[in-house]
Amino acid sequence: MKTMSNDEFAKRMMLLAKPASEFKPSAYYDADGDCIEFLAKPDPFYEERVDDLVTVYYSQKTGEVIGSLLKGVSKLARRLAQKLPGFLITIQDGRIRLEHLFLAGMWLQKSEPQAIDLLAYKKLAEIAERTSVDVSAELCAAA
Amino acid sequence: MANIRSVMPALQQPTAIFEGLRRDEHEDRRAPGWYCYCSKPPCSFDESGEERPPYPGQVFLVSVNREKVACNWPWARADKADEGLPENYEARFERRAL
Repeated sequence: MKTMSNDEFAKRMMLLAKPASEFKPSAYYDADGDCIEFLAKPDPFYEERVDDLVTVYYSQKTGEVIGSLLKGVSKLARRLAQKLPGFLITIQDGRIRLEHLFLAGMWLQKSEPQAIDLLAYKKLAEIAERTSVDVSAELCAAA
Repeated sequence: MANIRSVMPALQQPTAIFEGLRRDEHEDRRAPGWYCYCSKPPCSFDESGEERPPYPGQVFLVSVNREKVACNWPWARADKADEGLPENYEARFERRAL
């Protein structure tokens, strides 16, 4: 196997990346981290941990919420099945709308959430709804 | 995506390395065996890969999993008392390894 320099690797990755004009809001389930990464805009971002479930991505350009990392997804799915059995009806054709996961995650919080955290959850749910992003329920063990 | 160019320098010259995310109610499978490398890169990169100044008041973090694979590399707010460390690092990580 040929070894690549850091610069060669970076150039190759940049070639694989789609231009911003082709970007579509999307969510990706990472089985290793058991997390869902959601990106609504292709802006560079910085992250801020809201709680043990959600880390919010803020645009470096505008400061607006543009995505998130939702952690412990399979455990969240199990808790939803136990505590909110009606949640299963929100799974259609094996897909879960991401806004439902944000709302459910917010409802399942045991401690009194900070107002700022609630805002982050609401904003994420709103963006996920507006961009109609969903994920495979089977992949994140919620089916 | 362009941030990937800052990953290797961060792994080679970190300002700090943290071990294990704090375990909490939603036990994160990233917790044991995961490392977070923190750095202050000399530049950032825009969407087209062009060099830009680093983001003020922020650090660059690289999460490395048990298999030594870098899994994500976000910018995050820096600690107000020490600009070389991430905000709330004491609450976020189990221990500081470097």
